[in-house]
This record gives sequence, structure tokens and C-alpha cells, in this order.
Amino acid sequence: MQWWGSGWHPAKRPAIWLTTGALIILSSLFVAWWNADRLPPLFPPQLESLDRQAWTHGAEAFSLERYTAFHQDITDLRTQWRREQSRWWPTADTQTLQTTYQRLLHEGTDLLEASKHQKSTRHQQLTTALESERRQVNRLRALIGIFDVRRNLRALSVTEGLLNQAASRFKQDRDDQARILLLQARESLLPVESQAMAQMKRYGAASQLAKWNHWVASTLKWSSTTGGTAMIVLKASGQLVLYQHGKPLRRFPIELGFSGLQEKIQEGDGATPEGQFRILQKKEAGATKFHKALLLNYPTSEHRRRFQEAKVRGVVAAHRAIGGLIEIHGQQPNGNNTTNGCIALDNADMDVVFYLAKEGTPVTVVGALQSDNWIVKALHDITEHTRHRIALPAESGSVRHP
Amino acid sequence: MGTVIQSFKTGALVLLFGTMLMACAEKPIQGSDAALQALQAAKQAGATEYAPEALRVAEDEYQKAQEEIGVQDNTFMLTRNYDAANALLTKVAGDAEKAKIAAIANKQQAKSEAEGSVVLAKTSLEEAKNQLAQAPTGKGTQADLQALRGDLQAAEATLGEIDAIMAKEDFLGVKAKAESVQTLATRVNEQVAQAILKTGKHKKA
Repeated sequence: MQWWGSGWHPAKRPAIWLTTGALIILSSLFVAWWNADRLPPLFPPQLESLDRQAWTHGAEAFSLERYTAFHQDITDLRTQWRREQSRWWPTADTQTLQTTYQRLLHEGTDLLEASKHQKSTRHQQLTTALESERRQVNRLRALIGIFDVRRNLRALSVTEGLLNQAASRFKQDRDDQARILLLQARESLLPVESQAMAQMKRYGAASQLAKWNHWVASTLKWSSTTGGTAMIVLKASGQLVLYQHGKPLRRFPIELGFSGLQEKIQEGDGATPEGQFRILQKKEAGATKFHKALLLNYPTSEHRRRFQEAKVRGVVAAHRAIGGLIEIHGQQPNGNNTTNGCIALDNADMDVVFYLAKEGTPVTVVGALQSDNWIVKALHDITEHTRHRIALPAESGSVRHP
Repeated sequence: MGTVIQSFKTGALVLLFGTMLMACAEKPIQGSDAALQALQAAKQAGATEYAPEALRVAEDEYQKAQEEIGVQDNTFMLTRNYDAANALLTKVAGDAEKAKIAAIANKQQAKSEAEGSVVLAKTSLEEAKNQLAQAPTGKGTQADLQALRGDLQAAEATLGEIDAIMAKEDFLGVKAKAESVQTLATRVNEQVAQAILKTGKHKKA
């Protein structure tokens, strides 16, 4: 055959084929190696960074199980990564690692966002609760000098101190400690609230309001019938109203006892007594240190009867006295108008009242005449607060700040 | 001729054995212990409370070093290499030291701030007490004065708790209490000042 005689030496042909084959195989292997997915020499830092950020934002505290699983998955992936790196490249399973890496990247981002959201929501809840308790403290503080909250003054101060501490803890980013202080503050406030509510509820009680209205009506009827001067003292609205012929003549602002709105029980309680009184004595300037004064016939027989009953019930200690010397008077020498239970007016107003008053003039002292008085509104706010206290978030279980 | 061949064989065996010995890398036990000690030192310096992020970095590095040691432990003896683990452990020691330094500095700063707050609180309380002693008294001011005295008593009681907390080195707790005292005392001061302004009178000393 011509082909055989073309100059090719038959003995050389296998070597050429083998060399060509080897070159093709080596080239293919090179291309495969070149195109193969290879792991970076170092584990990508993004996951570890996400892990740390999530932890800093309290992921461990808010979602312990989820965070632990995420952290463990990163550890496992990193170990797997190192193992695969040390394997011969054609046998390394980089695809699974890449998939896991992408999944953890998403999980980490979600976890971080969730932790940030939870932390912020929790902080907001606690801050709102703190402000809410502060408002309650202020409502109760507003009762000092009006109702008898003396027994619980210390508790009120302690509560305020605890709330101040909680506010400082918020500033320090120590929400868990703030939460504990907030709980202590709430506990400390409970007796103050219950005492205040017990004292205030009379002002919204229908039977009490009916009684007060009856007293006023009978006094005004007397004034209308006789044409005489009568005085109505409205404790809740802080007014003394002068009547003639059953018609209002003048209204004067007044100050009461340091627990003036409370029902008078005994001497020294600072309450201004309620009832239908008469002026016993007019004290001109010089006969009193309060400019001028009108002495009332407190205690009446009704007051004495109730006082004895209170003693029998044990509400009042056996050695306590009922008190007396309740007057309508002018200002104190130091200018302070608040009294121990009397009704105080500015001196100019007292001059008018004193001029129109006579011995025997009826003076009816009542708490309020309508159920929409401010005390009922304040009571409503205090009661609503106790009923619907802002729920505190659960303890975070943070291990970051033991 | 036989002696030469025998010598070559012996030499090759010695060479192979030597290579194997050299290839058997040593596990970084000392480095691991040193890193752990550094972490412990950082924690003892208060890093958990005062430099938590820096401590966490060091702890993460330590975990990675342990993982690397685990990987190398399971690697073929001749290719085993603890260099990366050693490098990580060295980094742990450095990072733990940084956490320790940061913790000491932050703790010192917290202590200074706490002490400063206590001084301010004590000063405010004294001022409030003096101010309250000047408050106008008279018929009907009992409730207000009693409330203000209650505030100062509560503030004093809180101040009394501070020494015990300071001894426990809870400086942030001390600061919170001191700030609370200061707020209460300031409020008392303001209220008494208002009362004086209202009546225009001081109590005679």
C-alpha cells in the first residue's frame, strides 16, 4: 500500500498516539482543575461577623435556641470547610458547602434583624411602662395635702427612687436590671394606690352624693325661706359660696386641711369635717391670729355619735379625741393658707364673708355635688392604671450581663 | 559490595524514620493552655461585664483554634500541621490581652464615674437637707414637709446601700443609685425653693 510507503516508520506510530493521548488527557485535567470550584484559603468572615453582631444585639438572650443552632452551624461549616480544603480537589464537595454558607448568611441576617427588632421593642415596652409608672406616682403625689397619704409617703418616695434607678439602668443599656427595678417600683406603689383609691371613692358614691345634695338643698331652702345668708363649702372644687335668699351671691376660693378632702375621723388627721354646721362665734381681728375667724359648731352630735362608733369598731384608738376648733378664717401669719382642717380664705375675701356672717349662720360643708368632679376623674385614672398596667416583657435570660 | 548495599539500606531507613519523626508535628498544648489562661485573666479583669465584645472576639478565635486542632488531629500523620492552630492561639492570647486591658480601663472609668456620682449625690442630699431646714413651716405645711422629708429619707437609705454595692464592684449599679439620690434631692431642693418663693419667707434659723 502506498500509505505504508509514505515515509512514516510504522514502529514510531504508537508512541505518537500515546503522546497525543497523554497530552489530551493532561489538557482536559488542567481545564477541569482550572474550572473546578475551589474554596477560599480562609473561611469568609461575613458569617462570623453576623454571629457576633447578632450576639451583641442580644440574639442569645432573645432567641437562645435559634442562636445556638446558628452558632453551631457556623462551627460545623467551618470544620467542614477545613476538611474539604485538605482534600484532593476532584473529591472536594464544595457545592454543599456553598449552599450551606448561603443559607447561614440568610439565617444570620434574619437573626440579626429579629434581635435588633426584639431588643428595640423590649426597650420601648419597658420605657413606656416606666413613664406610665411615673405618671401614676405624679397622680398620687398630687393627692398629698388633700388626702391623707402620710402613712405611705415613704413608699411613694421609695417608688420614685426605684424608677429613677430604672431610668439610669436604661441609659446604661441594662434593660434587665431596669426591668427588675420597675417590678420593685410597682410592688412598692401598690399600698399607696389602694389607700388612695379607698379614700377617693366616696366622691363618686351615689349614696354619699345624695346625702351631700340633700344637705345643700335643705340649707338653700332655709336661705330661700328666711332670706338669710348661708354658706356652702364645696371641698372638691375648693370654693365657699355665699347665698342670700337661696341665690348665690359670691364665690371665694378656699384652702382646706392638709388632708382636707378626706372624711374627718379624729383630731389631728388634717381632714375638714363635712356636715351642716352653724357659726358659733365671730372672732374679730386681734381675737385670732388668722386675721378674722368664724368658729363652727363642730363636732355636732352626729359627729360625736359616728366618732364613738369608730372607737367601738376599733377604727380610732381609744385614747384619741374627736378634735374641734374648726373655723372659717383668713390667712396665716406666714402667708400659708393650708390648714389643719379649717377653711381658709384670703384676708380680703374673709372680710366680706365675716361682714355678711352672723352667729347662727348655717354653713354646710360637702365633698361634691356632682359625680363628674375631678376626684372621680383622678380616681378613674389611678384605677385604670392599676387595672391595665403595661405588661412587662419576660426576662430576657441574658447571659451577656450577669 | 554487600556491605555497601547494607549501608545504603540502613541509611535509607534512618532517613525515612527521621522524616517521619519530623513530619509528626507537635500538638500545641502549651499554646492552648496559654490562650486559656489569657482568657481567664481577661474574665477576672471583668471583661464579661466591661469589655464583652472584645472578650467575645478572643473566645471566637479560641474556638477556631480548637477546631483547627481537631482537623489536624484527624489528618494523616505525615501531612499533619498545627501552624495555623498555633497562629490562632497566638492571636487568642493577644486578643484576650486586649480584652483585659479594655476591661480594666472601662471598669476604672465606671468606677470613677460611680465615685463622681456618689459625691454629687451626697452634695445634693446635703443641700436638700439644708434647704428643707429653711423651708417655711406653719399650720398646714406638715403634709408637704413630711413628703419632702420622706423623699430625703428614702434618698439617704439608697445612699446607705451604695457602700455594699461598691464593695461588690458593681459600679454601674452604684451610679444608678447615686443618680436616683441626686434626682430626688434636686426635686426636694426645687420644691422647697418654690415654697420659699411662694411665701417669701425662710424659717428662722
